[in-house]
Amino acid sequence: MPRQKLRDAAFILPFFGLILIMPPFVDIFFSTRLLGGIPGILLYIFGVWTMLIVLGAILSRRLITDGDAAETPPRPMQPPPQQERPDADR
Amino acid sequence: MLTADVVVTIALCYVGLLFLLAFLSDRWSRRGNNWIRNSPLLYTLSISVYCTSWTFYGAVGSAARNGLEFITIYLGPTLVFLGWWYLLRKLVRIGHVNRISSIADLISSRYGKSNTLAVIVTLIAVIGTTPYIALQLKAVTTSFEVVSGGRGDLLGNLSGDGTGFDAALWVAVGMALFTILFGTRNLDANEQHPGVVAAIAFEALVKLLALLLVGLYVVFSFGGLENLFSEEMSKRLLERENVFGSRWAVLTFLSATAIICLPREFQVTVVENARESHLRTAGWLFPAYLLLICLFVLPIAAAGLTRLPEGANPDMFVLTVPMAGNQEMLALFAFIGGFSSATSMVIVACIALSIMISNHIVMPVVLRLRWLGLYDSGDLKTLVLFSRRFSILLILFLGLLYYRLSAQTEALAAMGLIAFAGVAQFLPSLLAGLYWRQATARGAKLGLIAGVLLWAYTLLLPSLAEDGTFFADTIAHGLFGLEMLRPEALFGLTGFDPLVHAIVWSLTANTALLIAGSLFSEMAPLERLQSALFVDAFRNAPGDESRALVRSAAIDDLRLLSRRILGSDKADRLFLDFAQRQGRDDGVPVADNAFITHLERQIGGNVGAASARVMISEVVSGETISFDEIIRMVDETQQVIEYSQALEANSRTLHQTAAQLRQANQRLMRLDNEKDDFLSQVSHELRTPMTSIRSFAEALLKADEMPAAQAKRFMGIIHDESLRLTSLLDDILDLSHLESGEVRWQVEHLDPESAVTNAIAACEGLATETGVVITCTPSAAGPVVEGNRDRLSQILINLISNAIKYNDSPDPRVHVACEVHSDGWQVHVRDNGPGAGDVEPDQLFSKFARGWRQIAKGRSGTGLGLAISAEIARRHGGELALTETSDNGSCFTLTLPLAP
Amino acid sequence: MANGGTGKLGARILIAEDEPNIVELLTFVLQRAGCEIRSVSDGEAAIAEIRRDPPDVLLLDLMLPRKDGYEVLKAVRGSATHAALPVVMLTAKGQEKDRKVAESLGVDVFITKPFSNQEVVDSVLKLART
Repeated sequence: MPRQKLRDAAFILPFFGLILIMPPFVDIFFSTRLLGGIPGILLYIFGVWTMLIVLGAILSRRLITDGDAAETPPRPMQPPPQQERPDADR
Repeated sequence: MLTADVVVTIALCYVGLLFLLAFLSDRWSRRGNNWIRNSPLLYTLSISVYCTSWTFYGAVGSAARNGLEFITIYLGPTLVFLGWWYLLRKLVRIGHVNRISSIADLISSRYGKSNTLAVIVTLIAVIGTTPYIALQLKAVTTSFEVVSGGRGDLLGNLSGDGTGFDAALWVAVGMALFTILFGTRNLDANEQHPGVVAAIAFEALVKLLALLLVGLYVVFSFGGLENLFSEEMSKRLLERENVFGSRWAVLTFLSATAIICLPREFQVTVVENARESHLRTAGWLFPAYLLLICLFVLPIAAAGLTRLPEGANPDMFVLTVPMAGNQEMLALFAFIGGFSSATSMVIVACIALSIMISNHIVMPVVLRLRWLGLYDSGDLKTLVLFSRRFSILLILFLGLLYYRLSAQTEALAAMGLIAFAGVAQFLPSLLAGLYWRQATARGAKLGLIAGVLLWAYTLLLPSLAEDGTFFADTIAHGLFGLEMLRPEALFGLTGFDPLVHAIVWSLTANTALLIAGSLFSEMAPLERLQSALFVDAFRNAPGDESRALVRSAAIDDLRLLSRRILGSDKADRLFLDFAQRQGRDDGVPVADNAFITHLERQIGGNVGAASARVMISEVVSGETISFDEIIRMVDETQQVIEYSQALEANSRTLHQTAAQLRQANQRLMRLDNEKDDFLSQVSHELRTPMTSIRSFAEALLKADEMPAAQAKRFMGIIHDESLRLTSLLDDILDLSHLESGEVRWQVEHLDPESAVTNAIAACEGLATETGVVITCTPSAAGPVVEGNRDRLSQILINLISNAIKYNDSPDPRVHVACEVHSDGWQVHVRDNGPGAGDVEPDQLFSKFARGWRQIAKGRSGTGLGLAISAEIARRHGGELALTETSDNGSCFTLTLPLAP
Repeated sequence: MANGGTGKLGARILIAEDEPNIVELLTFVLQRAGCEIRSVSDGEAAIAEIRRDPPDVLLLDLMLPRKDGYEVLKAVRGSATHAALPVVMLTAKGQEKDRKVAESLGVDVFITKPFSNQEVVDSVLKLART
């Protein structure tokens, strides 16, 4: 996936999650019936939650391999070498 | 049965373990072993300081009382962390670049390093956090009593006696010791505490493990989930009225806000962050941690409700459920888990608050109150450390005091959400600071103050009044007895959950005032600069603001100042590094803008941006803020975007222009060719009669004995050709005028068929001469067109005379027919001559069309007649066309629009 | 048809020209020079006439209906039997490029209208003699 699309996906993911856990969606899946001993609504919420985590993990990995790790400088204990700015005296 | 002694011993051992862990981690880190700072896993675990004892015990309690609602507290942070790329990453980047030491520092820094704002934020944080600390102390003492059998029953209800307070006191003392030891051990260039982080991360594992073990025990002891959740239990736990109503949404929102705005969360997520890339892991791992924490909450609640007697305190189910199954070791481990979650929260909250208090309240006071002599007394570093330690003690003391004063469980239990709502007031200023350039300090102050006042009035006050002793009157009947001002139904807004009600009012007022205040106040130059740095955090390189901030200082003054704050070693190293970077051999950096800015940041990492600015201002001279530079920084992104758009647009325009030029060039070349052709044609047409004139004249001159009749004939030819030459020149001039649009003729409304009649009359002579019969059928409609009578006649005469002249049929006829229809008025001139042959219609109407000459039998035409006629028709808004042509004749049609 | 001219008696000339006045004029001056004249008014007729009875000299107008002077010239030069037929080309198109084309096609004399009668007569007689 191109970089911009990945970022767009990263932007949309939380909103996608929000929609799924807010009414009316969550209302649709409200059920106290037991499925394998677990109330239906719990299955839904934990299912959505797991899916979001998996998607988030995939996205995070892709955002790394996309080569922008270079733009995240580690926070140094010592002051970072600051680039000389020739125009600093302007 | 576990005795108090055993529990205390175990707890002490655990605390000892924590001290050891923190001590070792600190030492490793000091020796340059950075595994703690380099581990995204530890970073993620430290963020889970979010899960306090309020989670550990309270989640199960909340689930037993309110069903699913507890889960919102974990869904909000999940969403925020899933969206780390946009919000958290920006926060962390800004935190790194500007050496932000706390959320108060962030907000103050963004709004022009305003200390007033920092103080407001700090006070709100203290007000919101103190009861929360009290809640942790309470949880520890209560759980201690429960697990040690201080109250032998399994109800888990609290005693209000003195032993609880004693325990709380000792816990507080222990935590103060830990926090002071590892939280204020030194003043680093940044507020990072590897020892604390390691201990917190360890505690995060312990509490998760404890909760999971209790959960697994519950599931196994019931023989599987299906025995735990009966249909009835499922209904009892989950089926509530309006589960997913406004409270569901507001709680999700609040928890999402809290994960950013809680001082302790800000501390671990932003301040303690060592690498931006750690967010990549935390972005999904922290939500996974929260999911695991929540996994067994409902089963434990169900087990508690099933196994424990009616009236048991659900908040203690995590302990009492294993105890009811005689699992004392498990209960003990659960107690340690709860202890972990409480202590980790207290430790981090104390560190975060102490930084805020010392940086934004103590230091500014010291800096102002010169007469105290503290500022000039040399070692400011010790002063800062001292004020930190003092702040920690103060905070814990406040927590204890609060705990002592409000022993009521209910008042404390509600405190978690009330604290969330309090710190949520930071959100508008924070988000506006990150994304809205025009947000000003004035707006932020107004919004924060209004939000907090409303929060205190609508939420804090009623919670304090719950036991009926304080403010009961105000709650019931409103301030001053005004019903409109009832805290839980402000301005008549009733029918809402008190929390929703308070959030709606406080955040609405907060946001509205922030926006209004920003719109109606001017930004100070420094504010504008900081706004540019924050909003464009991903564009401006570190040190960019030195472009805009012009100042100078004596290097010795700077060295003195930094030694006093950073310590001699650190300050000297910093100066040496910078001198190297500037390429200076003597180890003394030049005090240029970049260096002063760098230094201010380093100092700001210790004492906060506002204080650092005050200190630096003491030693620099001639500070000016270059407004142009700020504007340039703000505009750069804009400019780059606009520039590339402009480039794109330019190249598009160039393309179009090139295409147009190419077309124009082609047209010009065509015109040039036409002109050449035309000239060549004119030349040819002129040369032909001239040849006759010259040659016949020559023959006449040379021939001596020419018969008179022949001489006369020759002279006749010369005469005719001269006339032809003249009319040719006239036509050329006429056409060229027509084409250039120079000819103006009078336009009138006229009946075109009268022009037809005129033309036929004019051609009668020629027709009779050549024996051609002209017939005419006029239209019955009596049409009116706009035009010039003479010019229309000219066209028709040309058409009719051509039809006559070129008609070689044995029975030559010309028929003129007029008609009116939708296109306008039409006249058809039809002949039974030889037709135009295979001549292209285009060519036919061009100048000196050759088509007719091929069949010409007379020589009176100039070859320009049709071109002129077509041009006249065009100038009338009409059209002249060859509509039919065959061997049996041809038909020309003139169409003119009817007059409106 | 001898008429007391200075030229070779009985030189047979074909005039291909669509302007009747010019035909009349050329006929007049060349007959006076002692030539025998035939005339046609378009290109195809000219070729047909040459095939039927080749003249001594062809006087060819450039702008002819049906087939223009160039095509006639090409046909003449390309034919097996009378490729050597002397051709005088007359044209009202006075441009240099027309002359070049005509010369490349093998015209013998190229005369621009308006012309001097004497020039035409001289050229025709000279060609008729060879």
